[in-house]
Amino acid sequence: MIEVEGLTRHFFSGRLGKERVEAVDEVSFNIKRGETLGLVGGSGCGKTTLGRLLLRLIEPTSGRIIFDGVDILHLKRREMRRLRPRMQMIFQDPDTSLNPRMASLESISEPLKLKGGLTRAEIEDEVSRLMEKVGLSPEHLGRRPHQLSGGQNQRVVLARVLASNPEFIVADEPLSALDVSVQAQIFGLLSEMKRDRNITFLFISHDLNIVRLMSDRVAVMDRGKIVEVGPTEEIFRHPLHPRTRELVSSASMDGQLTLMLKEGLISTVTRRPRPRMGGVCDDNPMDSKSSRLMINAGCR
Amino acid sequence: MSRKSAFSAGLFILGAYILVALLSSVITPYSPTALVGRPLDGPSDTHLLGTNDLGQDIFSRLLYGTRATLIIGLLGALLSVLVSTLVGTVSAYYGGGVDEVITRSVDVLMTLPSFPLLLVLTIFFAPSIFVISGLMGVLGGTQGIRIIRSQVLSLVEANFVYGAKAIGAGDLRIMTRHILPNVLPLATVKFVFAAQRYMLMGVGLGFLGLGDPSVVDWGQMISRAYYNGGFALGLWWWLIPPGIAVTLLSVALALLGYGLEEEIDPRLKRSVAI
Amino acid sequence: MSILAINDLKVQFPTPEGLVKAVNSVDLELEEGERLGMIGETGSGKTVLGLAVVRLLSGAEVEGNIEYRGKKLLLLDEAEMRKLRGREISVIFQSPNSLNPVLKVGDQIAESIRLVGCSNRQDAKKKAVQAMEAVGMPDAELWADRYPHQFSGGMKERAMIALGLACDPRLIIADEPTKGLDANIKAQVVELIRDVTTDKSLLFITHDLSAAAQICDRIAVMYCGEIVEVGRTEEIFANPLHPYTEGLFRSLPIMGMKAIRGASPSLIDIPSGCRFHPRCDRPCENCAKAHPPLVEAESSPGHLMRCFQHDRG
Ligand SMILES: Nc1ncnc2c1ncn2[C@@H]1O[C@H](COP(=O)(O)OP(=O)(O)OP(=O)(O)O)[C@@H](O)[C@H]1O
Ligand SMILES: Nc1ncnc2c1ncn2[C@@H]1O[C@H](COP(=O)(O)OP(=O)(O)OP(=O)(O)O)[C@@H](O)[C@H]1O
Ligand code: SF4
Ligand SMILES: [Mg+2]
Ligand SMILES: [Mg+2]
Repeated sequence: MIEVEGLTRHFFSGRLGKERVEAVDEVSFNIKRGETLGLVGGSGCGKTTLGRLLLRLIEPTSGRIIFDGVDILHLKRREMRRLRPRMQMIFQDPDTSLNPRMASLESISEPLKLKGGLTRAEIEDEVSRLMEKVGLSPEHLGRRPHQLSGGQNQRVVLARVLASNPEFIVADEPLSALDVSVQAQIFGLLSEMKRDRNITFLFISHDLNIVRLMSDRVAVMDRGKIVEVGPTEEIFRHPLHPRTRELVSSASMDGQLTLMLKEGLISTVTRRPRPRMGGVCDDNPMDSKSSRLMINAGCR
Repeated sequence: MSRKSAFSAGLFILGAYILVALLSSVITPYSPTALVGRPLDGPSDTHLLGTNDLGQDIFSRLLYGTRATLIIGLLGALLSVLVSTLVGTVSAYYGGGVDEVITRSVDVLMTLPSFPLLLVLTIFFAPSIFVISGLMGVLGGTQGIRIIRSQVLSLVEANFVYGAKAIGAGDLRIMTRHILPNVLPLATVKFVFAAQRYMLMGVGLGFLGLGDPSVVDWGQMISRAYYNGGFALGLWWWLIPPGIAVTLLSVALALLGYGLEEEIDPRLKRSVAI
Repeated sequence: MSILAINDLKVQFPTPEGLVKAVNSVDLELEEGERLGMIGETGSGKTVLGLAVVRLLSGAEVEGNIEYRGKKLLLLDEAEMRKLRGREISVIFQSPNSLNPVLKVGDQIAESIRLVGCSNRQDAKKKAVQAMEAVGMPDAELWADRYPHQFSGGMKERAMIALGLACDPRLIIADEPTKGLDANIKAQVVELIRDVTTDKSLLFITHDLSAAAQICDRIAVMYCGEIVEVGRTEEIFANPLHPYTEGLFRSLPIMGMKAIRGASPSLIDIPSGCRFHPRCDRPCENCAKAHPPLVEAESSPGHLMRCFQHDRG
């Protein structure tokens, strides 16, 4: 689906552009159709820049990007524009991802309008369908970003991205603005899209637990370079590069919380058998192998 | 004074001036240029603010003068804001060579002193209020270009602009729908302060005798009063009213600008964004 | 003595669709030197509550009483309020929009330092660089001279933390300061926040439960504009009493990642009775009719919760 070769992007800053930041440096990898590549790495290592490059939102210093057999760096402006809706990005900060002067309705319907050929009624229908899908209600339609919470904005972004009906999505920290329950919901939504619509993802996150659940393969980035790529479980079980090891070990540092929670969970489970109701989630603590199945079966 | 009340007060006074300008032909008792009384008459029932050395009614001239001053201020400001917004946006959005050329030219233009340049050009072209405001707009626009450009530069890097690009929006749409609405508040404040500056410049030109001779303006009134004895003889009704008119208008615009500033100050406004 | 006491706080936003009741009768007390975590649903009013304290909400109707060290904040005039903001009470905003895009980051932090009395420009700049180093910025000197758009997401977040801590406040309101940070830096930031708040008070709004667990003495849980549970940190995590809190913990990847069923409630047409009842997995008949009060749980003193069935053990 997407193939990258020797992709490089430098930024120049300071007086006379003397200082150089090698944000992305000679990066090569590929993602197959329907596959999810997790991208992890320290803050400032170039993940967001790489995501923007893949969509050609910024121009690389050098390198090649093949999207679905097309070398997108050699496309003319107009051809590129036609291709654009097929690849989308969920940006890191939901608060800056939406035009502050546009209400949610406008933001979500913009891609539909650009697509053309839809009547106003059709657009409205589609917008309300998307809003429902991401968990927004009609009361949010008329509001501008500053009138919504961080998490609500993130859902507007998601709806807008889905409106383009993309085949490839760069998801840059798509869950960090959400509470953990909505995280689980949106995670379910993304997994569903992946499964049902065979969407390809580049999934960027600092939350390795989620990367582990979401990705088929994981790439580790350090100071602009990809230092290790491999199947998810391989990377987590047998990290080779020191940077990977460091990341993986720090991911399991949430020990204190886990301990507290586990203790609590055990005591609540033993203390009170909870009455079952229709539609309630399965209560068995899951084991890590069946995690994917469990999530997809998630609660409705 | 709170910014809100400053804004309302400014708007109210400006509104009053605009009303006077629009209605001046209806509400003035005499034609501003006609010789309607004895020269240098003091204020009376027939001539509220007396007459000048030619026997023209000062009150009528004062009201009529609103037009020229407002036209110069507002038209000049409008032009300069249009120029700076347009050029600044294009420059920052496209970057590269276009940006280079524009930034360099602006740097050169900025080194020229604008008021003297304005004087020279006004003398060169026939001094009409439209030529004057046109010149002011173009000359003054260069300063605004820098400010607008840096604002747009930070917007171009904003995620939502990348997002618009990603859904396939064209350059024109991105500029008009996503970037311009977000520089509009800044442009509006610039407009108000520019209007204040240009109005004062217009009065200055009039005072120096470089104003449009075919219209009545406060600068010319003050200059006439000053040089033809109003000052020496202490004829306050001749000299003071146009001075007050200028000052009050200037204050009104300043208040308006101050009130609007909150809209664009990132610290005041953005911090509220959730 | 409590540094911050919030009594019966209501915040509402009039919108064309109806009145948004973002914060509803919240009572909250923060002791001097205490670190209080605030977790809960997205859109439940955490940010609005925090901003209401420093009076930075536009277009809101705020009612109730907010007392900061004996001063009734809602009655202060704007000038007095401004004096408090940034000197005694500082806010680390949720949105990176709070960084001025046209000023260098170092200058912004220096400005905030100068505001509280460090008069020397050079010194202020130096302190700004130190503040950036403290939040784990490599080459802080270099980055102080750059603009926010040149920063990566995590760097912006760190810059905002540095900005918020720069003025040496008494009370810090931090709105999701650990989002977008990698594990190492997060650990460093958590450490830093813990360090600087040893003699300060902190209102720590977050979705990051593990950061909350590491930093906070007490945790308050918000749902639909109300506080539904408050208690000591260990109590809340080990023994969550409110069904929403429990549901929240079950949504963690390590706990099975099961989302709470149903959709987030509307803040315009607020659910009747217990606001959580449409999504609760064990409601009784009463739950849809009456609104449960926030009461102390019999089993654990100091642990308050808003559920009719808290003692059904
Ligand atoms: N427009 C720019 N000008 C200059 N430098 C930039 C620019 N954009 C990014 N950089 C630099 O490039 C590097 C990579 O940034 P990037 O945003 O890709 O990091 P990241 O991996 O996404 O980090 P984070 O996890 O913190 O979001 C950083 O050092 C950043 O400062
Ligand atoms: N200016 C406004 N006008 C109308 N509604 C608003 C406004 N500001 C906030 N709201 C609403 O108030 C509610 C509370 O918002 P708030 O930002 O406090 O949520 P939050 O708990 O901080 O969520 P998150 O964790 O997602 O940041 C939201 O439902 C939001 O839509
Ligand atoms: S009061 Fe009833 S509905 Fe509400 S949380 Fe408790 S049990 Fe559930
Ligand atoms: Mg990033
Ligand atoms: Mg918030």
